[in-house]
Amino acid sequence: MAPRKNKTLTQNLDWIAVLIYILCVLIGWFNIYAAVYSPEVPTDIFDLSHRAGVQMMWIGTTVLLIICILVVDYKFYDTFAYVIYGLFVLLLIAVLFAGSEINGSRSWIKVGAFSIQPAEFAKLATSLALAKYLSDPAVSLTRSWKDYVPIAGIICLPALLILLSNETGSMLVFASFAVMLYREGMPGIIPAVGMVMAILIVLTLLVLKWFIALGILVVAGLVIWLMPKGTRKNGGTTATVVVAGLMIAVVFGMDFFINNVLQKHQRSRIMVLVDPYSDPRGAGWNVIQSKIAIGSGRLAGKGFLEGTQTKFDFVPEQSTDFIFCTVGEEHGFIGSAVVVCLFVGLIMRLVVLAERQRTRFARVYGYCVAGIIFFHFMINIGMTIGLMPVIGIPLPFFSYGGSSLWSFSILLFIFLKMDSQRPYTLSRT
Amino acid sequence: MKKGNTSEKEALMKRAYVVATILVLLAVVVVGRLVWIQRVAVYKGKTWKERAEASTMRMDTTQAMRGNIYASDGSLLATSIPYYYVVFDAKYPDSLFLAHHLDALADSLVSAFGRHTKSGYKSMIEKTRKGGRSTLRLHPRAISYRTRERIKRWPFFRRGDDTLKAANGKILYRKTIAGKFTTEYRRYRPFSPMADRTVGTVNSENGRGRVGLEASFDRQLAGTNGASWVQVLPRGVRLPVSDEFNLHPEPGHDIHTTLDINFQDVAESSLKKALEKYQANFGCVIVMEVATGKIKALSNLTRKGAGQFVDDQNYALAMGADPGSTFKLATMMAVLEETGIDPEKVWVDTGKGRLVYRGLAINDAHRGGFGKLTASQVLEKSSNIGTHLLMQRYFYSKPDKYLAYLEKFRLKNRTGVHMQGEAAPFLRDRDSKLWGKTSLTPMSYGYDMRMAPIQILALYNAVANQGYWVRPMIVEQIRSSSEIVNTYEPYVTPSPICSERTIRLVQGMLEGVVQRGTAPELKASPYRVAGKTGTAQKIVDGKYMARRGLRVSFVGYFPADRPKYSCLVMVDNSIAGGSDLYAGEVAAPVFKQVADRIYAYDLSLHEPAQLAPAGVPAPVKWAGRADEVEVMAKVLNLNTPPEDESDSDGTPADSNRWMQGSTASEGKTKWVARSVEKAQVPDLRGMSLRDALFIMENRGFRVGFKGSGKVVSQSLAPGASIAGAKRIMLGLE
Repeated sequence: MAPRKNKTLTQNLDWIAVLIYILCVLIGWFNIYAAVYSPEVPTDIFDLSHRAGVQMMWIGTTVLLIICILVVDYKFYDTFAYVIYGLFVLLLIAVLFAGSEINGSRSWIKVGAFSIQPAEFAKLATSLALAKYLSDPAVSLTRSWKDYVPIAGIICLPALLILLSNETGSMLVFASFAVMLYREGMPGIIPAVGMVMAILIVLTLLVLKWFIALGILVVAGLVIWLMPKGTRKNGGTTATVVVAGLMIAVVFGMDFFINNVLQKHQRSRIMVLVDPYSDPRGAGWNVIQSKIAIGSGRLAGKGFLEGTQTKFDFVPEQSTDFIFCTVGEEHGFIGSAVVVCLFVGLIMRLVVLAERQRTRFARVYGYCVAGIIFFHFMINIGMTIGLMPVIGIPLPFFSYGGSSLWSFSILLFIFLKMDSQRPYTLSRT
Repeated sequence: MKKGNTSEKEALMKRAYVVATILVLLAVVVVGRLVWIQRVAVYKGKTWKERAEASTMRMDTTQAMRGNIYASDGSLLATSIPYYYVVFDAKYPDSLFLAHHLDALADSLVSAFGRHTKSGYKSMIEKTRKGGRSTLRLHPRAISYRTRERIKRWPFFRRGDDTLKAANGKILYRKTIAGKFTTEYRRYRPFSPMADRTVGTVNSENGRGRVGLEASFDRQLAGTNGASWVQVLPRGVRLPVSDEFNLHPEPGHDIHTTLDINFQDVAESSLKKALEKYQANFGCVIVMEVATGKIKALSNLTRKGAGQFVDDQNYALAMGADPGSTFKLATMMAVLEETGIDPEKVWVDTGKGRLVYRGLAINDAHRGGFGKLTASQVLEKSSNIGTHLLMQRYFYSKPDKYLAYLEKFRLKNRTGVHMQGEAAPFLRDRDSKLWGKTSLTPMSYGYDMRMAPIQILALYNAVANQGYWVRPMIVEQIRSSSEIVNTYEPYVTPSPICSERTIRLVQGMLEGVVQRGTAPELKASPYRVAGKTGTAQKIVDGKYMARRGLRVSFVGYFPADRPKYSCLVMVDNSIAGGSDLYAGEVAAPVFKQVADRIYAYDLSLHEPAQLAPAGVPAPVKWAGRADEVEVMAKVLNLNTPPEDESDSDGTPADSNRWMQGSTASEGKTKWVARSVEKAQVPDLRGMSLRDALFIMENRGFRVGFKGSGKVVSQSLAPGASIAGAKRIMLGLE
C-alpha cells in the first residue's frame, strides 16, 4: 500500500542540513587543532596524544552512530520515546551516586578511558518524550492548562537532576523547549515575559535600580497617557500600574537576588558581564581573553594556527566552551560571520523541515532540536562576546568532546531520519 | 469547530515566522556585537585590539637558589640568603574580610615597619584596591626570613582560621590570603672581606658570578632558574598560564674549595701588615700544598689609603709581569740540566756589579759587586751579571735549547688552575722580530717576559715536589647537597720536569738563599725554608723605572727537608714606601710570618721527638689516673697498686694523682706514683690519649697526635719547662 521505504540509507535525507552539519564538524575540528596547537611543540592534527586527534576519533565514532540511526526504523523513536526518557532519567540519578567528578561536577560516567556525560543526552531523551506526549491528539496547549502539568514534569525532572549534579549550564538548556512550546500554542505572553525579565536583569546590572524604576514609571505614564480612552476606562490604567509595579519589584528582587542570594562565584560570573576586570583572574579571565582574541582578529583574522591569544591554554576551555574565540582570532570577522551564518542557516533549515512534517511527533521533535541548537549557539557565542554570562555549555558540533558531539549528532540525525521518512507517514496533526 | 481549529492551526503556523524572525534578529545582534568588539568597543580608553597588543606573554623567571662555596674545613665562604618583599594584592580579598581585618593589618605594619601611620597604611591599601594596579609592596625593603615568619601570622597572611561562617553555616568570605612574599636571594660572605676576590662577587642584577670563583664556577653554582609563562594584562595583572609549560627552579651545586680559612686569615693579615708598613700599592700571597697543588690561601689586596684595603684584583692569577730574580731558578735548572756542571766548582766573575754587554747594561744590586762567585752563589746572592754570564757561556750558541727547557718546566703555558682570569705567560719567541742577540740575557733573570705569580709558584712547587710538577687547584669537589657531582683530582706530571740531580742541587741553592744569601730573615725559623727573592723593576710607559718602587717577591717552600707547603708573596712597592726596598726586606718577612703561623697551626709538621726514657724504668706498661689504674688492675687481676691513703680516710680520690705501672720481675707489676708538675712538661708516655689530652689541654696546650694506642713519644721532653710552649705532638702506639 505505502511506497517502499528505505531504499538506501541516505534516501530523502535533507542534504542542506547534512552539508551544514559536516561543515560545522570539520571547521570545529580544525579549530580544536588550532586551539591546542603550540608552536613550540608542533603536533600533527591526527596525533592521538592531543585533543585534535582525539576529536578525530570522536568524529569517526559519530559517523558510525549516524549510520546506526539511519538504519533504525523511524518508528522506533516514537515507540520507545518514554523508555529512552526513563532510561536517561535513571542514568542521571545513577550519576549522582556513582558518577566521577570532573571539574567540580559529578556528572560523568566513566566507560574505559572515556567519560560520558548523561546530561548531554538527557536533552535528546526529553525531546523525544515531549514529542511523544504532544503527539497525542487529545493534548492541546491552547485549550487546557492541565496539559502543561505533565509537560512541566517531563522537562523539570531531568533538569532538576542535572542541577543536582552541579551542571547549571546544561540545566538552563532546558529553557530552550520554550521555542517548541511557543510554536505548539503556548501563549506568547510567557516567552515575552521571560525575555522582558532577562532584559530587566541585564539592566539591573548595568544601571542603578532607581533609574530603572524611574524609567519604568515614565514608560508606564506614557502608556497610560497614549492609551485610548476606552481602554483606560476598562481597567487599562490599573493593568499598566500593576505591570509597572511588578517590573519594579522584579528589578529590586533581582538586585537583592544577585547581591544576597547568589553565591559569590555565580555573582561574579554575572558581574563580569558589566566589567570583566571586576574579577580579572576569575570569571572575568575568560571573557577578557575571549574579547581580546576576537577583537584582535579583525576582518580576516590572523590565519590558521597563527593566533597568539588562544595559544598557551589561557582559558582551560579554549577547545571546548570557548572554541569560538579561536575562530574569531584566526579567521576574523569573516570566519565568525560564516560560523554564525552556518548556525542560523541550520536552525532555519530545521524550522523549515519541522514545519513540513506530517506528524506532530516529528514537528515537535524538530522544534526541540532547533531550539536546543539555537539555545546553545546563543549562550555560547553570547558569552564569548560578552553578551551573556559565562555559562559552561558547548558550541554544538564545534566544541571538543565526545559527549557533546555524539549527543548533538544523534539529536540532529534522528530528526533528519524522521524527515527522510516523511513521504511515508500519514498526516496526523 | 473545524473552522476554528483550522484558523488556530494557521495562527500557530505563523509562529514559525515569529521564531525565525527572532532568530534572525538575534543573529544580527551577534554579528553586530562582533563588529562592535572589533571596531568600536573601547574599554577604559583602549580597543580590544589594542589590548591584544598590550597584553603580552612574559617569561617570569624564578631565581634558583645559588650554590654555596665552602672552605676545605667546611667553613662557609659564600652563601645565598633569601630576603623577602612583602606584597599585598589589594584587589584580592573579599570586602567583608578586608573590612574586618584592615585595622589589624595596619596596626601590625605600624609596629613592624612604622614607615607610615596606621591611617597611612590603610589609605595606601584602600587606594590600591580602588586604583589601577592590584599589587602593592607593603614595605620598600626586603625583609629577613625571621621577619617573614612573624608576618606569616598576620591576618591576610595566615592560613586556615580566617574563614568566617555565618550562623546558617554559609561561608561569608573565602579570599583571605592576599599577602604574599617574593623572594630575592642575596649573596653573603660570612668571612668577608677575607678572600673576597678569590671567592668573587655576584652581579646583583642577574645573579650571575662576576669575578673569582663565583664567575669561574658560575655554571655549576647558578642552578637552573625556574620559568613560567604569564600573560601580562593591562593594569599589570599577571595571569599565570597553565602549569605544563613551567620549569621549576633547580638549586645550584655547592663548590668545595681547597682554601683553608685559617691559612687565608694568616696570609691576608700578614700581607696587610706589610702593605701598610711599606705603604705598598698592592700585593698577593698564595699558599699551596706541595704534593697536591691545593691552594690553601689566595689573598690579593689593594691598598686604597692608610689602613684601607680591598680584595678587588686577582693579581696572583691575572697579573702577567716580569717576575724578576725568582725566574733565575729556571735558568739555573736549565744550565744544570744541559751541562751537568758542578755548581760549586764553576766560577764566574761578576766584577764590580756593573757590566755593559753589547750595549746592554747589566747591574747587580749589591753595592760594589760580588766579585767571583760559584754558580750556586750566583743564585743564592741573586747576581744578574752572574746569571747572564752563565747564560752566555752555555746557551748563547743554542737559544732554542734554553726555550725548550722553559717549555719542559711548564713555563710556556697557563697552569690551568680552575679559575678564570689566569694570564697567559709570555716568553719572547725566536721568530719574533724583536729577538736580538742579547735577548737571552734579560730573560735569564726574569725580564722581558710576562709571568703570573701562580705560574712561578708552580715551578718552585715542582722543585719542592722532587721535580714533579703539580697543577694548582682550588676546587676539590662540586656537590649537590650530599651528592658528589664532580671531584677534581690533583694533577701531577707523570715524569719529573728535570733530573733528580738538578732538583737536589737547586734545592740546596734555595736553602742557601736563606742560609747565606738574600733572605737571611728566614734563617731563624724552627723549620728550614727554601726559596728565592725576586726584585723587579716595574715597567712604566714601556720603560723600566726603578725609581717608581720595585715589585718584590719571595717564593719558596717549607719545611725544606720535607716540603709540605709552597708559598709566594708578591708586594708592589710605591715610591712613598721607599724606592730601595728589596725583596729580602719586604716579601721575605711576610713569607716568614705566614710560614711561622702555618707551621704552628699545622701539627702534622711537628715531628714528635724520639726520647730515650729518662729516669723511668722501661718498659712502662701503662700510666693513668690513680683511681682508674686501681680499677683496671683489679679487673686484670694484677697485683693491686698501693692503696691511696686519702681513700682510706674517706676523702675523695685526687683526680690529679697519677700512677704508672711497669713490668718487674716474675710478671709482677711495679706501681710508682708519677709526678705531674704544673711548670714542667709531664711525662705522658704510657698514658692513653684521653689522659694525655686532659693533662696537656688543661695546661693550655694544643695537642696533635699520630697513630693510636698509648703515648710512646712526645715532641717536648718530659721535665722541660712549659713556659712559652703551646703545642705538643704525641706519637701513639
